[in-house]
Amino acid sequence: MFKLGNLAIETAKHFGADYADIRIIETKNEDLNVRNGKVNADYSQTLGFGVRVLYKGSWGFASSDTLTSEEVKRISKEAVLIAKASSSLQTAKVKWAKEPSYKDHWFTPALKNPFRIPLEKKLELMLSIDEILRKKPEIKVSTVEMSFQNIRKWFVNSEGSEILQDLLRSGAGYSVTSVGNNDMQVRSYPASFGGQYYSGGYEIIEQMELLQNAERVREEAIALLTADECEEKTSDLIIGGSQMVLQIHESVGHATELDRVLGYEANYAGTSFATLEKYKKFTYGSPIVNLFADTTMPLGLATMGYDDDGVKAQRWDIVKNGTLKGYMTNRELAHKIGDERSKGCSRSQGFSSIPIIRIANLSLAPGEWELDDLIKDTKNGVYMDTNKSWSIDQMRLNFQFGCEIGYEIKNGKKGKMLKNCSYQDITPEFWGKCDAICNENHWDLWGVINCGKGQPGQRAEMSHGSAPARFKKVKIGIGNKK
Amino acid sequence: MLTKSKIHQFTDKVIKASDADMTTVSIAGEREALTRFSNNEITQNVDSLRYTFTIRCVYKDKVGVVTGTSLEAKNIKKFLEMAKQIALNQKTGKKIFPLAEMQEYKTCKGYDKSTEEVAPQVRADMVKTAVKMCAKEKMSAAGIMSNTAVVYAIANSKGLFAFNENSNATFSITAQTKNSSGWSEDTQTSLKKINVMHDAETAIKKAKLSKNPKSIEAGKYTVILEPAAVADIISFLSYTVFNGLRYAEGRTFLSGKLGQKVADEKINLFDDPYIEGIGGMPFDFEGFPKKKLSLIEKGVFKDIPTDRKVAEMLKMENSGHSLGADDEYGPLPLNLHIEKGDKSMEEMIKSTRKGILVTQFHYVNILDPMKTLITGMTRNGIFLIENGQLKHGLKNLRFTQSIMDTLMNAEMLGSKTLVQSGGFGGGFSVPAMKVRDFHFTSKTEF
Repeated sequence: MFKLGNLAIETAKHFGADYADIRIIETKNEDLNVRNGKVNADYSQTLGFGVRVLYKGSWGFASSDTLTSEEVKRISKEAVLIAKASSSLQTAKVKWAKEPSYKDHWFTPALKNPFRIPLEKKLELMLSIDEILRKKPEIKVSTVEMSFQNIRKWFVNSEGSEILQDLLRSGAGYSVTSVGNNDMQVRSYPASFGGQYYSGGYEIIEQMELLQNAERVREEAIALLTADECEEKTSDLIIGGSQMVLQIHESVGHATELDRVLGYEANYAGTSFATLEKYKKFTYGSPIVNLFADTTMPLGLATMGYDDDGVKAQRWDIVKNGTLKGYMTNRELAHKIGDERSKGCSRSQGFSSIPIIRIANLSLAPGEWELDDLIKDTKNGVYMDTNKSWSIDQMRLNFQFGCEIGYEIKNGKKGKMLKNCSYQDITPEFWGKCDAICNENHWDLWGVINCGKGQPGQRAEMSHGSAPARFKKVKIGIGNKK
Repeated sequence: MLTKSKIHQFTDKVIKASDADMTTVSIAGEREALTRFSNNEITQNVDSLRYTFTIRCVYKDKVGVVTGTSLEAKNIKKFLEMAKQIALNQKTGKKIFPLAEMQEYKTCKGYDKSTEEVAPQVRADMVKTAVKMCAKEKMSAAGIMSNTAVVYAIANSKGLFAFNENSNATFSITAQTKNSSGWSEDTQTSLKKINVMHDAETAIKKAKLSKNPKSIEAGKYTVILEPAAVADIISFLSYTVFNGLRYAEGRTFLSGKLGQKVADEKINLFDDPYIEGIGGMPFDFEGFPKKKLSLIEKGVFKDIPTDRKVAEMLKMENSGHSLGADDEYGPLPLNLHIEKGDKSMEEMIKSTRKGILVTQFHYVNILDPMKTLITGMTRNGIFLIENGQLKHGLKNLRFTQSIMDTLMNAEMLGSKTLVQSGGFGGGFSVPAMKVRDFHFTSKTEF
């Protein structure tokens, strides 16, 4: 593969490229789904390559799924032609940050290769869960999912790097839909929209306690049908870990992508309020809010050896003691914040997509509270968890998120269940209201597998770690009865 | 892109090589070239060609599905064997419907050969024209110029072969000042129909008009939604409200309401893949012919899309809206069309004593499917209307509003429709709409 990679580099340079890289990517996916007892088992395998070149400081990219010497040469030439067209409308040349060249083979640590676990064993577990979930007539739909992905990526660039990465991720989860009382409700485990995902092998599935939680989840879905609706009011709010993921992702992750900050996404995904004059000065949240990015951490979906610019994985601060301290950067834009080196956030969906800045693994550092103590400390409030709906403006300020389940908190005690829970606020004001974060006993890393960005649209995966946290005086229950 | 006959050759090879009781093979191909610009320069320029094939093998009542790229003969044996192993390694079977036999289809008008192959310099020159217009006004332009061709084919061991191709060209532009922005987008079957100067002018005009926006309190207002804003809202009718399976399982607002009034009588809503440029296919993902459906007629809920499973549940006919033989999401209307009215945008504005004009929405999502309650933000041009005139730009607002209430409160419909792309095989054709009591629930800072 490296031989073909070097052929692409030589060809691109021959036609005038100043810089070139190629990613040859082989992807294997196994996606299993059991819906109301019916099995769907899909397996996919893709292979192709994408060539990216800089010509006089402008980009060109072309890709193909035919991996032959002739096609590699044709596509490399095509990428240069495209870059030449780009250079006809250029205000400044791309400044490419320095990075050492590497020759390396990096792989995700894993104990059990999920692709070698017999299909029947996986389906047996899924069907057992499905049977528990559908034991009550109120449950109209049960969906159990399991998904595995292995990406082999060969990266070669004109600076001498030759990197092979072998990335593995595993995930599973389930949801039930209950219908009755003129209503429909959904409950999921361990998280909504497909479950929980980590980088690693089948050992992850075995540790998820999927079977053990099925009955509880089913009963919660049924109870939600007759639960009181979350009233529209202002209240103290404790957000559970799996919902905090979405909070971090939307209001900090996307807001600190440097390409968005600089207007590169202005026509589509949007821009950001966290503009450059705020760098290292702006109060993003209360002093207890510490958010760090880390592409080296075990189990993260954005954990890797190198990004798609060939930059080695790193850890850095995004918000430190409430102040904005960092951005997600790549080699093209790092210089815009005065950095000589990229933080390594350049990733693409696959061989046919150009790398763009993506959110790294981004986590809220644990605080000092036990969850029980935090509830005891809350006189009037609501606890919400598990994401159901999300929406945020194009500068990442006004957000409104919905949760699957909530509980009233009165005089330090968790009370009745609440349905149709939602909350709305403005990002820095909201993080400024954070007055308590639970400790590492309640902290977990949660995977996001459906992050969309870019034109043509690309999907990326990353993880966010968090423990439950409390926010004071937040508008909740939007659109519900007062 | 590969020709119909080349694709047929590949599907024939797969079917002949398979020893399954039933074999289906589908091929999706896409050639997408896209030039992206921001801050008045080209920032990204890509060209990709990609094919995906999916093979579905049925052995008695067990199914194996495999997907791959690269339509090379050497792949066929390997993937068929994988599909066989997946099927045979299952203990539990399921109900299998017979395969569709050869069908006759109508034609969708949505393909222009010249739009498939466009030199990168052509796109760059179109972008240059628009960027120059923005730069002249001291505005920053961001957007895309893209040309795409898509083919989809499905064949099976019962002799079915169905083939469809679509093309589209899209120019989208956001013109930005320090505190305002304006947007315009045009999607056409042919690149030749794209008028870059007109779109740039529209975006510039909106950005100028919305300079120094003022804040307005959240609350209920009469709104005039431009076609793009209407499309942002009604796309959720496709995915949730008119989902045939959800309807059959009692999981949508419409469940049990067939024949009832659910919208204002001005609303006529269709699923129609045969509208030119809507990006539709004349068959579904099992190869059954797709019927045009009249979903809402003069405000009354009349029809729901079905596949064979849902048709059986509802004792209805199969309308040809399957997303695949093993699909569990439910049949969807992918090409929604709201019949146009007779009002120009000027007439709608003139008839409004106090209201808000919305260009487009951003990040709309569903909060409560049973109430059809959705939320989202306004974007790129929101204006106060007073006494029949546009007064000034407004800071953006968040709405939390039921889709069906929006359709029930529709007072006027625009006299032109706009096609908005809605993903693979999908698109929406809608007019502007004047709606009373539209609920904005919070403000933002810009």
